Amino acid sequence: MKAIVCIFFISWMFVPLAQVPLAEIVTENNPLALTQAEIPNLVFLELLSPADATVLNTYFNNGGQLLNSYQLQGILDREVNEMSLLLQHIKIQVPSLFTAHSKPSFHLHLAAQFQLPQLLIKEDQFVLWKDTNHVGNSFASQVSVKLEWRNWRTGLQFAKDVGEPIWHQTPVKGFDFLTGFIAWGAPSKNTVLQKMFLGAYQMQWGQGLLLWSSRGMGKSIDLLQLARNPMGLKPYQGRDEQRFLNGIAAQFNRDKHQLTLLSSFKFIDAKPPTDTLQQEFNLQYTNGLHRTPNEISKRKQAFEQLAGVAYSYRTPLWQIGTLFLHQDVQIRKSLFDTSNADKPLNPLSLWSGSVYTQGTWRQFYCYGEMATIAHNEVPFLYRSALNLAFVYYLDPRLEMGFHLRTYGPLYRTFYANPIGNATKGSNERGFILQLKWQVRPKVLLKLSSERSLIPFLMSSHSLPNTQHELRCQLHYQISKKQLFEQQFTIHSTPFNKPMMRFRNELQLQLNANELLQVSAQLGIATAQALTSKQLELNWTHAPLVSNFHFEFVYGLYQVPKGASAIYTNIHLLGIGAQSLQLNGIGSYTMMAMKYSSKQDWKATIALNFKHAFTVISTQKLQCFILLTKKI
Amino acid sequence: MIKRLHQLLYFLSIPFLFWAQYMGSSQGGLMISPALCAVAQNQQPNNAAAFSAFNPKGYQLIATAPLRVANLGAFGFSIHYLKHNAALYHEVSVVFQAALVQFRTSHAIGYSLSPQLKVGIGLNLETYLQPSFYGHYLAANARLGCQYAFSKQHHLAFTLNNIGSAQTQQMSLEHLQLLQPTLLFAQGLSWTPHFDPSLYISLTQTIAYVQLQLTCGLFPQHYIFSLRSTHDKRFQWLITQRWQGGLGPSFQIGIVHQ
Repeated sequence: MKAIVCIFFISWMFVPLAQVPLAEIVTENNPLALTQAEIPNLVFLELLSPADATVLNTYFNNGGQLLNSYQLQGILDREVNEMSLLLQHIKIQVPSLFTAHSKPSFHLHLAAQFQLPQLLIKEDQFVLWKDTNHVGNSFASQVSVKLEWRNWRTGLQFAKDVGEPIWHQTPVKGFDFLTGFIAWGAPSKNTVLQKMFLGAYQMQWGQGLLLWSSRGMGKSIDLLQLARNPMGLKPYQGRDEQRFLNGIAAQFNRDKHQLTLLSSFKFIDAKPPTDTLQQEFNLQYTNGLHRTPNEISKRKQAFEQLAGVAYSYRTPLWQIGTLFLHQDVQIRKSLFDTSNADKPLNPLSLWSGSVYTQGTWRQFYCYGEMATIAHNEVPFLYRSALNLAFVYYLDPRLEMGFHLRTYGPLYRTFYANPIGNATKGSNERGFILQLKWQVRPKVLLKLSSERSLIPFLMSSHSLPNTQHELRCQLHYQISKKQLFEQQFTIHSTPFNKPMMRFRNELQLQLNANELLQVSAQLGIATAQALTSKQLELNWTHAPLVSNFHFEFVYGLYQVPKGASAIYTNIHLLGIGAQSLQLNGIGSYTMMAMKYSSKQDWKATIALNFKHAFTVISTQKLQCFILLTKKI
Repeated sequence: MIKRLHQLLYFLSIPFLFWAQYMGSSQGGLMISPALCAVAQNQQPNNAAAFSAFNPKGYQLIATAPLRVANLGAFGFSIHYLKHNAALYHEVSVVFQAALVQFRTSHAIGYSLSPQLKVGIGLNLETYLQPSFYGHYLAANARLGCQYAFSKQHHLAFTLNNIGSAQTQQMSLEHLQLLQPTLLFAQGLSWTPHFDPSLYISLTQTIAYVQLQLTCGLFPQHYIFSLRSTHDKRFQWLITQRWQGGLGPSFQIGIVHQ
């Protein structure tokens, strides 16, 4: 009997260990919040290498899902200790039922970035470059501070571009660009009020036809990547002085329903009414820069107001949503102050609405959005815009897609980003046919044929025309850490001979610390029989265990006048994207060094050295410094 | 391991990089073998990282007399060896012209970061010995190189030469594939931005006691056919026929002693 009691007692003692509570099961599985849209951010934060990003993109493109950290560890082939930093960012934090708010957390993040003035090298001497038209100093800077405490976040940032003064006296006193925000985020997904913002924020909605305040990526050859995955509300601390909202916003969730209320009030740049004969306010008057007296005279000359309500219903496979938005902008100066204005200037006031949907059914995936502005005197089609796409999986290895867009000539919205960054979502029609074929397990072929037209003459710099672009991309995953990509593009218009462009890129993870990328571009302007060429080498030394990282970029180019333009988009270690348009004959050298201390100090110094030989040979040297600290 | 203590080479039209600008092309001189990847032979004259475990040390004596160019001759001596896991290379060469004498010395060090990856760095010094009336000339430039083995069959190499000089900077790339143990295929390019990129493909095969090499390229258009006797491992002879657009044909012979 004693033995039975003893066994029973021991068994009873061990029951809680054998039966793991539900919360622990979830915690042990290490659930992840990683989607394909998040991958570029992780690459930017240097938590993922470009090779890892390629592997993950391929995994997601083939329908894969990441549910826990073990899955991710297996795909990336990393050790557990190498995953810790990455997991801090993407692991779903399961709050304790009793102590969700009891543990105080305080984080301070400081960042200061300086782009020092360019130095010209003339006769072996360094000369400070300065554009005499610019009013301000020829350096750029961005200083930001972000504070996190429990569920609250607040931030303040100041930025200026090259040539802009730090402080403006006229026409409106103040810092060149100063933003701030206070944000609150719910501790769990079960709370009705999810997010609340006061200050600068970004809003992404639907497919970007009506409201997509941030700038998007370039037009992808892949329709699935062309589909927008709206992130909703996000706090804003960027340098872009145009594309953001400033006001109050909140997001509410209840089961599958989501409601977003937003408002924005801010002064924006506008051409003073005395300078233009056009009655209506035009967003294309300004570029966001305040360097010359002419640009400064436009600064904060209009008052922009946005108010909207958005509703969406989301299931795991489908989501549908609608947004009603009122947009209004008024010139700040009174017209009655001007003596030569014969007519009053009409402010621009738009009442708009949009409906979007995206989801999957059997072997179909579709997404689309339709937006319109309210106007009684204009036909519906002229004041509406439509994006519609279908992707059909014919076979696990073959995918076909169609994308149709038609933007009415009188459709207008302040913050559109409908497809790529090249179009404003007005006065355009286009059709894309796309094919994606997994030829071999490691070989992927993508084809895209796009025909687009500008149907109406609305402005002198945008004449009606038709364009056709054919793109073909070969993607060869040599091994897990080796990738080769080749792209061919042919662009033609009815009045010009076609322009062709080839781009090859080889990406090799040489060992755990070294990454080598070699890319070559060749552009052929058949009408002028001119070719433009570029060859670039990128070496990154980034050991996971070391505090010191290094990157070296060296490129040669030959772009004669009249030849097809060649751009490079270098993502420099710790500095970010550096885009260059190459002209003439020459070379460029970029170096970046990044040092991170154990006290969370990070210092990045990047040097950009460029030889260019056009009419006059120039050699320029520029230095970037970035300092960040987390407390 | 094959021991190569002595190597003596006499042939015509050797790879002197500073001839490239005379020819108006990106090609690095009249190379018999523009190889950047080292598989069995040391190629550190072309790529500071191209050293081979099969050819750990040796030296070569070079004399040149291009028949088509009058009053031009060259002489060079180079040595390569391994020390503390680093591959070192030293070269001294002289080009005799009617008006001046070009004196050049080149040094390189290569190191294996991993079994697949080799990197190297080199320094070149060049001066002209000429009447003081024409002034003085002294130039120093650096070169970087890398060789990476994807697998036993595939090798990739790149070099950056003289990147501090806007006029003569050069980037070269080469991919080499071992189709069979005795059959090599190489494709590469070499580019100085003031000229068109020079592209080439090359096929090398060893049959019995003869090694054949065929190279053809564009910008400038050129063909090289080379035959090398390997019957005697210590004493070898070499015949090369070369044709290049603008320069015409040239005939090359050589003797290798190792």
